[in-house]
Amino acid sequence: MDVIVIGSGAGGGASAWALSQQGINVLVLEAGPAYDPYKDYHLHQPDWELERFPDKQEHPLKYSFGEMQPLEKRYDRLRTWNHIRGLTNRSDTRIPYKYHHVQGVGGSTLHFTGEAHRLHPKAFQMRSQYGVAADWPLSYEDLENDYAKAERVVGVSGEDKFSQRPRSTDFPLPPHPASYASQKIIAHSHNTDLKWDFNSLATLSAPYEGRPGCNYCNNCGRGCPRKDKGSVDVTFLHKARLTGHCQIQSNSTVLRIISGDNDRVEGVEYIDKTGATHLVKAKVVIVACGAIETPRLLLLSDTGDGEQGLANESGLVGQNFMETLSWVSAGLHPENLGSYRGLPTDIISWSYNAPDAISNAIGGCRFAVGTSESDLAGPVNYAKRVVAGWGLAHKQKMRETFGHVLSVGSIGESLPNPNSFIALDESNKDRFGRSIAKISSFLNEGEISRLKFMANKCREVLNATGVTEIFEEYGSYDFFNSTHVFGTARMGNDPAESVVNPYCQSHRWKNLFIVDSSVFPSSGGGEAPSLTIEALAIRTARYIRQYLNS
Amino acid sequence: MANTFSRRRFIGSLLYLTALLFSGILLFRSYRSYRAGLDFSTLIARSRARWRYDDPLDATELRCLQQYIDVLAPDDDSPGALKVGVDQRIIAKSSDDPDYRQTLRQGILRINPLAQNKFGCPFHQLTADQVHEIILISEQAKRYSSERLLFDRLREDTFSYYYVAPESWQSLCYQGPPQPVGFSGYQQPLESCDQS
Repeated sequence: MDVIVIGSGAGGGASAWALSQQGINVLVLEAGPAYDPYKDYHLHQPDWELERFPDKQEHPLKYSFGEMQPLEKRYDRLRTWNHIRGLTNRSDTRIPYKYHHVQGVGGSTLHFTGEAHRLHPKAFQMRSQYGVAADWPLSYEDLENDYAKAERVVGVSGEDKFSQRPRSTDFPLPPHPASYASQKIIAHSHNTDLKWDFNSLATLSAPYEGRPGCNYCNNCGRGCPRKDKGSVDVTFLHKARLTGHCQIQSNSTVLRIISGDNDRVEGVEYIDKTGATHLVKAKVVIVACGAIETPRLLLLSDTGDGEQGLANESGLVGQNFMETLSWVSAGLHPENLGSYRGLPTDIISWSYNAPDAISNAIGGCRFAVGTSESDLAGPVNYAKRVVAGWGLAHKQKMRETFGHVLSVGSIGESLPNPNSFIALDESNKDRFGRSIAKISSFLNEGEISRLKFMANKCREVLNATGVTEIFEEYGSYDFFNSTHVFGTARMGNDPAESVVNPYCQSHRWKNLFIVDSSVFPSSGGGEAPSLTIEALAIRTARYIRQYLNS
Repeated sequence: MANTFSRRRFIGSLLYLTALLFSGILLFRSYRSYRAGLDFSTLIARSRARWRYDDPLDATELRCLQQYIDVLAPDDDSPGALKVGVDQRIIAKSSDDPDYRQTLRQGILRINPLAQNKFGCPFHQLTADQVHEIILISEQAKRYSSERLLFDRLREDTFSYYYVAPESWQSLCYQGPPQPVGFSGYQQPLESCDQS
């Protein structure tokens, strides 16, 4: 085998495609199962709303949490609440809720909403320009061409007017027209200082390469049964398979990476679905398991000279963990907007996306409609969370209310701090007897200030649009609740301050590469990371080809 | 000899103190139950419920559940919860999940004396209006009391199973499920049920 890729999400899938189309033989090992969009997703069934993504994994990913920080009275306006249920977290400590992750062929893109973002160019220089996090050892311009390639593979629909992000090519497809509910936000935008754009999305606004256009069911997070959402399984991995050089093995968990002589790794040990253990050797190993599982696997592997923790010469594997800083406010609009229709995040505001855009906190954020992401796109959640009471009055109120919810969400920059990191939890093991990952998370004053700004803006947008009463709000202040995670195998030029070099190559282990959001030196101001991961993977694959040829 | 006597006295005193403590606990629990409006038969039933953990709900308990569910989502212009089979789904869930079943059972044991005290008959013999009153009391009870847990669970599950039934969607003008058709008119306002 030329290359083993561990993990089949955005990084693993794009690596497999970029390498296999060059004739390089790739084996992709995925711990989770494969999903058949036509059979495994349930959006055509009456009880579609009872389940989010239909996880069919027998042994879901396990992780634990370190001690969480105390909550303070002065930030009570940042607590999660619902008008029926009251405060969701009644304790005085932040609650570790969930790391939203899908283990399966396609990884977390199986449940993503399809946002396909390029990072703001200024986000690459957080240390030199703003004195926080670390600089990326490459620039936006270095990635631009690979961003465009990734957009073409996925089939991104978008609008060519983001002056903040210079483009060499048009988007492959035109943007999706805004839903009726989103049009209301745009129509009232003059009441706020936010400017709204059509979001760039990996959902097809027109048929593309044999896949149909989107039919606006508004439930990308439950798995797209039409294949119009550009998850990695139906784009990169599908194309990789067609080359004849890519083999994808699901339900195969890598136990460790095997180190060898001369600062090279030899291959991996993995266990398949029958329980049989295998050793596979390869010229190159790529780790692409996400910013929690990647450091775990590295820390579980040894260097062969008595040291535990592969590629951890700097001691930074697992450090600099960054999470999803998010806020959502939901209210009722006086008009029946039919807000359960459309796309989950069809419009977006980048007005505060630049790292220096918010006056009292370094780091940017973005705003988008969030009705579907809040899971308020069906009658069950209306009945439970939106309409209070029960009985005849409840039924009547449901009729008056259904379709009226308008929700606005924000995702903000998360900056690294010494109290946020991933380590091995020696007292908790997985089914193979290996320590699971332990997530330690801490929000410092900067994060909380940014969150406060995000929350106030979300409320402002809703009010400006005509929403008089907000009925539910939730955010990262009192719950750890992350979809995007970053930074635990940082990229950089200096081996003492980073884990991999600008080509995602371990500073010491020359044939070991890390291609996922672990390598991000900074998180960006709310951009979804998948497109950046894919662009990095394509760039790294080019470098790997040179490495193999040499 | 003196040592034996002391040991006897010591053991005797210990037994006496234990009996005193035990009586105190019994008295306190009886007082608490009295304050909570529980009669002796309910206390016995609650104790028995602990031993019935593995048993399915009996006919009276099922009748209570149906009464409750029927009032949470009753018939009006659209069919109520019982007509679309919500009770059957909840009963099926209680068969599969003993903890859930126990929550329902403990709650029913609590609303029975409430019904008895207020209307002079057990819950399953109440009229819909009377059930309505008992549910109101349960809704306003302390957060982790048995009757409140019963209310919270049944509200959650009744609405979950009721609003997945396509019969319940008609009066909402909702033409789900989301697939396979999607919502092609998503850019337009909703003017009538036909366009949703």
